Amino acid sequence: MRKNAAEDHELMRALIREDSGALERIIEKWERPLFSFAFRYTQNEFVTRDIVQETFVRIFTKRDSYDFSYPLASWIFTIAANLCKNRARWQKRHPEVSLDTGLSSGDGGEEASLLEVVPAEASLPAEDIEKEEDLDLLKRAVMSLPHDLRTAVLLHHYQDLSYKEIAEVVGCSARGVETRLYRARKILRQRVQASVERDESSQKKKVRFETRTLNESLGQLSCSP
Amino acid sequence: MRKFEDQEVDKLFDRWKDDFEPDPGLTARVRSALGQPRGRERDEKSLAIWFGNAFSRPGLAAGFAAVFVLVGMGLSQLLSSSGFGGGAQDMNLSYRLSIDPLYRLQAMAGADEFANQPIQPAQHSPNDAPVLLAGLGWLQGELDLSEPQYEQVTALHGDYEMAFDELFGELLESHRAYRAFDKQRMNSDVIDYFQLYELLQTQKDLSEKSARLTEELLLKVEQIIEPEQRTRYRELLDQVYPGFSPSEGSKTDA
Repeated sequence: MRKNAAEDHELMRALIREDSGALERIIEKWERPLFSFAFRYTQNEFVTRDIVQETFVRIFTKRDSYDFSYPLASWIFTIAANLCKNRARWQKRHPEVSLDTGLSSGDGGEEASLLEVVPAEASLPAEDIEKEEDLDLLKRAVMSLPHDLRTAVLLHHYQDLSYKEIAEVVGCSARGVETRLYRARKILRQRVQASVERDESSQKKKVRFETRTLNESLGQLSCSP
Repeated sequence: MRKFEDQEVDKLFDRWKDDFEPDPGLTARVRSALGQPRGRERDEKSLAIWFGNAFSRPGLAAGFAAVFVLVGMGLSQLLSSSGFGGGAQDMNLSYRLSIDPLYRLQAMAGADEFANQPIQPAQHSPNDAPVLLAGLGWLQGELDLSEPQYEQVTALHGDYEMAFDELFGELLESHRAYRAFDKQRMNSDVIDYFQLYELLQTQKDLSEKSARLTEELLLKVEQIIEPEQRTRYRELLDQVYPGFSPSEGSKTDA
């Protein structure tokens, strides 16, 4: 849908002329893609809604500076990505004890949520639980990526932007996007793998401990008169 | 040991849904932040210009005047019977949603388990989906703020905005954690009282923090405005926090 450059440019022209309903049409078309990007970048729905709103405010206030030789998607996602980055920077400078970021797993950046301590609302089959855990690992790994890698990988996977369009957002060449995507995927794979290995290792230790305790208890029982 | 390859990462990406729901108040908030009237009001404005041009012709003017009287009489009856004119109340409500994270949580998520509320908000339930106040043009009009005052008040609210948003996020998570706990408790024979205590303690702390931040902001606004504006400001506050008056003294930054 967004590939239609002529339609995008017509929308922007209408917005610049302040045609009635132009802003509404832009919002209707771009709310979902912006939400999708900002939500996965921040992983916080409330912050996402705030960023989406501010993006549209900036699209309107900066509409005269839009360069029609560039794709609209690049321009809009550049605004959104900068807002996401500012927000992340602000949160880094103002760390608060949040229920979202309470327990550090101790490997730099990957954090477990206190909410995970609260049991799930419904019990899931073991396979589904494992899948959910893997997805959580991926989300945490994405959160730990630097801004340009995170932006590139999310735009590439979910927004179907070309390397050239992503390059405009990230501020590099198309070749640079390729490199960033390669690096991002490598980091994600490694971090998910490391977390899985850590989990499996602690699981094995737990089973060993439980078996030993059980054996000891059985031993005591058999010795008692 | 499981091995993660690129395809597995792709599969995980595909399973990561964003649970998008269109935000019904988005356009209104964007327009409000831009200081623009909403679509309907904009149309009214352009209509006014058109009528203004028409009135420059005497013949048309007389015809329009007659139509206006008739339509106006009908409309006034219609509006008074339908209880129109809650605009000021809507703005008060939006203001309260913007400066009171706990109230925002209650209005948006229906969280009724937060019992500890040092500031008691007025009781009324919004008919529409809650919309945060995106600009303070409304307050400038209500208090007749000068340009420097308006800038100061806007900057002050801006300073607190991020803190309110953060706190709202924490309140929301606490509310969800409580709900999850409550649901689990219903299906279990054992109650983890330690966990319950921690949840309630967190809620209490967050409620108090919310009230403290709101009170701080109100007090700082009062320090910027003139005494006669303060009277009007307190009238507005009284509609959302009956009997509330900021206590001098708390001056912690957001």
